[in-house]
Order: sequence, then structure tokens, then C-alpha cells
Amino acid sequence: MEAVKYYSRDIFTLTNEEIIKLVDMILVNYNLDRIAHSLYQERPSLSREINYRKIEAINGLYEFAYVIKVTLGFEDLGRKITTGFVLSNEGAPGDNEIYEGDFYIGSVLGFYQPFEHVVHLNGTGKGFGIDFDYSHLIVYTKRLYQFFNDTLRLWSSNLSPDKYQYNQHLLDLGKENIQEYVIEEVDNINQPERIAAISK
Amino acid sequence: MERIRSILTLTDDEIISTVDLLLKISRPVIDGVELMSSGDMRYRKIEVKSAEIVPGIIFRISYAEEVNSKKDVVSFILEDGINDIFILPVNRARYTADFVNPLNITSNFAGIDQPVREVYMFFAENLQLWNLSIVPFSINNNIKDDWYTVEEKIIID
Repeated sequence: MEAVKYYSRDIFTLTNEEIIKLVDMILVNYNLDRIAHSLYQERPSLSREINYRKIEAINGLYEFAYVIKVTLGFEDLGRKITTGFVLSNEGAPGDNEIYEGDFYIGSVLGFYQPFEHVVHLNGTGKGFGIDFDYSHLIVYTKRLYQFFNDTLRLWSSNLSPDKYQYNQHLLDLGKENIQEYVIEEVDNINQPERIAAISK
Repeated sequence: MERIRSILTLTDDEIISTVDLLLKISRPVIDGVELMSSGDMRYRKIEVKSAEIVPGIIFRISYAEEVNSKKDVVSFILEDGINDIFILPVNRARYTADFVNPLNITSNFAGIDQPVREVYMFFAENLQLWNLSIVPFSINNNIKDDWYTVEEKIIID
């Protein structure tokens, strides 16, 4: 396939609002169903209705990656569960001058596993506390691409300058003991309309 | 309504190309060691079968660093959705639970650890999944309920 030159935003330029949109896009009804179904042994017939969701960005240990962790409270489950994914730029920092970069989204366990006990002597993937790995989820290939291309416009040229500005919250991860920050936290008591919108 | 070319119409050559792409990017690992690059691989066998109750293909890829050494196995499902496709590690598809163990999988396939644009462009441009101007595609009749070997090769420098 012939290489196509295109412009690319860095994943560290995503705003908090864009990260929330990304989570909304991935954790749609059929994936909430898949997580609920995986909990049938603990709670038979658990529905996908949620009453709590928290989105956190976590230090990804590399300056080209960060982890998005989502904590979910299901209506009929007596505890909260977590899922999430890692976002990473392709290529090393500084390579993006040509703006040809692609980026990865995927399993936290899968991302760190090759380096565990080699680079990270104590292991890493499980340390993020993800109950339901990203590989549990159905992510449609074209839908994912179109979201990043059309909605977040990761590969569009001539965007307004703010689209290329870094999200300082993301840049600060790993600095001065900042390991994570909360992007959104909603529940059915304080934000019932928001919970209704994301769990239908 | 937008339609796509079914995964079941992929030719044998396109199945091999798909494995080339996805194994390059998926980084399956064995005991913490990343899958060898193609330059280190000495043996590869690609088998496919129908996903049976859903329109899709189950892939089973065996590979080894030495021709006569123990083979490692990675597996995933490429499945048709409505106007779209998705990839799942075989152990994530609940309906396949009965035959996951007989697959003797030794590598963890994080099949969605993917460069977003590269993967989409491969399916859209190389395999023309969303281009209906060159229909009709024929179903690949080699993809049945039993395993079919698409490729088995020994790689010698």
C-alpha cells in the first residue's frame, strides 16, 4: 500500500471533553451488555443499566502513552468494576514534526505484557487494576476510524491552533507524583440525565 | 444503506495478507517475550474455519522460531458486523468457549491493540471491504466448518 501523508494530532492534545466522547463511543450499549453478561455468574441476568461512571487518565509510564480507566457501577451489582484501554502514539517523541503519525488504542494488559519482568521488573499491566480488559469489548474497525477521523479530526489539516495544543493535565501525568486525574465522575443521584444518556 | 463485502469472501491470498498485518501489530506474547519478528520466524502455518453461527472466520496461526521446535499458536476471530467488521481474541467470543481449549492457544492475542488508521486503511483500501462497485465477490468455499490450511511454510534465509 502506498504511504499516504496526512496530518496527525498527538494523543496528548485530546481535551478532557474529547476523551469523554471517546469513552462514550466505546462503552455503548452492546459493550455494557458484554460486561454485564460476563458478570452473570456473580449476578444472573444483570442488565447493562449503570448508576455510576468515573473516567480517569493514568500515567502510562511512557511519554507516548497514557491509560484511560473507567469505573462502572451497575444497578444490581453490589460493587464497582473497572475497564479501560491504553492510548499511545506511534513513534518516538519528536517524530511528529512531519505529522504522519498513527496511534494505538488497545488492551492495557496487552500493551505492557511484552515488557513485564524485562523493563518493568515487578510487572505492570495488572497494576492498573482493570477488571475487564479492552479485549472484552467489540470495537468496530470503520466506526472507530471514523470517530477519530471525523469527530476528533486526528488526521485533518488546517485545524484551529487549539486542536494542536497539548492537554496540560495529560502532560503532567508522571510529574511531581501526579499519577492520575479524574476526567469525569457522574452518578444517578447528582447527574441522572447524564447517567441515563450514557447507559441507554 | 451502506453495505460491506463479507469477510467470508476473502481469498486465500487476502487471508494471508490479513495475518501479515494483524500479527505484525498485535504483539502476541509468550511468557512475556514478544512474538518474534517475521525475520526471526522459521515456520508459519495459517488455518481458518468458519465461525459457524455468525458470519466470520476463525484464524489459527502456528509459528516457531525453529522448524522442528514446539509450535506456538495464536487465534482470533474476524467477524462481520452490520456494515462493519471487528476482531476478537478467540477466548472473548462466548459462543466459541467449547472449542477454545482444543485450539491449544499459547499466545495472547490482543487483537485490538491496533494502529487505528493503518488497520482501517488495510481493510478499506487493500481488501476493498466497503467498495461495492466491484461486486460481486464470491464466497471463499475453502472456509468451512473444518480447518483449512491456507498456508504452511518454512522460512529459510
